Amino acid sequence: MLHRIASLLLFSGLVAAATSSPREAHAGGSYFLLEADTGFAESAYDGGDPGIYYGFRSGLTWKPKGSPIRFHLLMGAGLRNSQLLGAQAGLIYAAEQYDLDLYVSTRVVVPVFGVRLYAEVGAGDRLSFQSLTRDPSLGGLSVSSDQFLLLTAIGAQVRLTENISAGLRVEMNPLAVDSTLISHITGYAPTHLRMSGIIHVGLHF
Amino acid sequence: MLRSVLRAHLAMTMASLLLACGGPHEPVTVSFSIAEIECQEELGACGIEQHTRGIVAESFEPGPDELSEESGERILYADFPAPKEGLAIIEISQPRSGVAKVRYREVYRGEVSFAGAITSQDVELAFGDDGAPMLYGRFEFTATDVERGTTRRVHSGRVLAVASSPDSVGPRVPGPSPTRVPAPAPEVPEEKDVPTQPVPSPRGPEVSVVVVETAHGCSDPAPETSGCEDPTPSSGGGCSSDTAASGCEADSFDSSGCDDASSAGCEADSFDAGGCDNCSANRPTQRLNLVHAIWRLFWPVLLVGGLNRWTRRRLSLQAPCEPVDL
Repeated sequence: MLHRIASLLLFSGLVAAATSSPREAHAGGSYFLLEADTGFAESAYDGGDPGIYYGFRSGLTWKPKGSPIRFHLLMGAGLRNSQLLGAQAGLIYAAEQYDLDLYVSTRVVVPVFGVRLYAEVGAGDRLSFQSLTRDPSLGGLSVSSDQFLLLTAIGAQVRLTENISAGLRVEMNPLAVDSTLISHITGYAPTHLRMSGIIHVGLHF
Repeated sequence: MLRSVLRAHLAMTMASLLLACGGPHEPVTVSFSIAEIECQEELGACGIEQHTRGIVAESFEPGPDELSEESGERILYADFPAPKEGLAIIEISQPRSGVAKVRYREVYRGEVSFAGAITSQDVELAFGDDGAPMLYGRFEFTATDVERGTTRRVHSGRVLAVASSPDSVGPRVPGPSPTRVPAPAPEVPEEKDVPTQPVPSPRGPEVSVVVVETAHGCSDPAPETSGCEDPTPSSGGGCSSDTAASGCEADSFDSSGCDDASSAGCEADSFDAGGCDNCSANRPTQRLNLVHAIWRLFWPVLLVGGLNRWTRRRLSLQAPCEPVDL
């Protein structure tokens, strides 16, 4: 389902980009922003393979008079997954973790040659769902937890039409996690600075 | 008007964040000690005395050996080097039936080399309101060579696990006596006497657990230290079966037949094999969790959507001028 939504959004953005005119690319400001994004996320564990990221955020924008800077107040959600394969004393296991981030953030946008560059800082909560599939003789284990989340991001955004924008974003989530179910059993250390490379499509209205 | 909308949005986002987050909840780790008080030493594999760290998880599916009757049951997991070679895994579950179940396995070179059939156990596993566990009691198991099926070792020991901070070393349980004379068992309080009050929050300060070693060589995690009764081993405990129960997983970790990525527990590439039939037992709980998570995730969005629609309509009526952008 998420795959389809993300694909649809990206396809819509590409269609909009293909059909937009230069005049539309210099669209005016808006009061509200709704962004959907997808990308790759660093694994939740050192040495793990990258996972997939999906997310969205929405919020208000405003710009002080006489200032080139536009501010955003956003709330958002992001979902990342991580997978690990390994062996415990020779017994194969498959570990999977889903992290759902809920946060509030502020974004500061500066225009540079028609491109809107931004930096974003936020805080929230990370809900983590972990499962460990082991040999049938041992059975599976799972655990859910949540932890305080910090979010930092930088990115660039280009308005494609009056109401649609596209952009790139690099996000980093510093976390203070020492032990999880997966790290406890597999020995993989949690990633404390988890990076994500994201593309996003925005609706402005 | 815009200011009012800003205020409303700020209040709503903060409220949604607070409501959605709740308090931090990290996995509960425990200091785990297991000590042998009797062992029939046939192959020189006695000497289980470990102080390690465990973690509280949940059964992802109905477990083998009836360790867990259904998914979502809490399981205390701990592993340590096996007496001879490989890895020893001890897991204690707290099924809905209320009787704690202990399972012991030794894994070596990718196979379960010894399966400990619990022949006797008197273990109490109590959880605080925040999920912090406290486990204490004694157990007895017969570790059987899985390959040959011959009984080789009989262990009797005691176990103690308490919630702890990650840095804690863990309480010490007195080890076996040099002469391997069976020591009197610790007095295990009845369930009504379970000392739930001292069980700390996993995020709380360092747990200070005093293991009282009496003159009789007993360790008693409970405040009461008077005497050491001779244990009357309760039989069974529900862990008698050594055969691996057929859960959702097949023998090989392939992902055939599970192509619905949105089905919890049966995702492609997640190595749930053997078709999805057996996974259906797990789905209600996981689906409930998923619905709950989705609701927590989306209700602020629905509110924002409604507010946005309302505000947009109001702005279109009252503020004909578009805001000046960059």
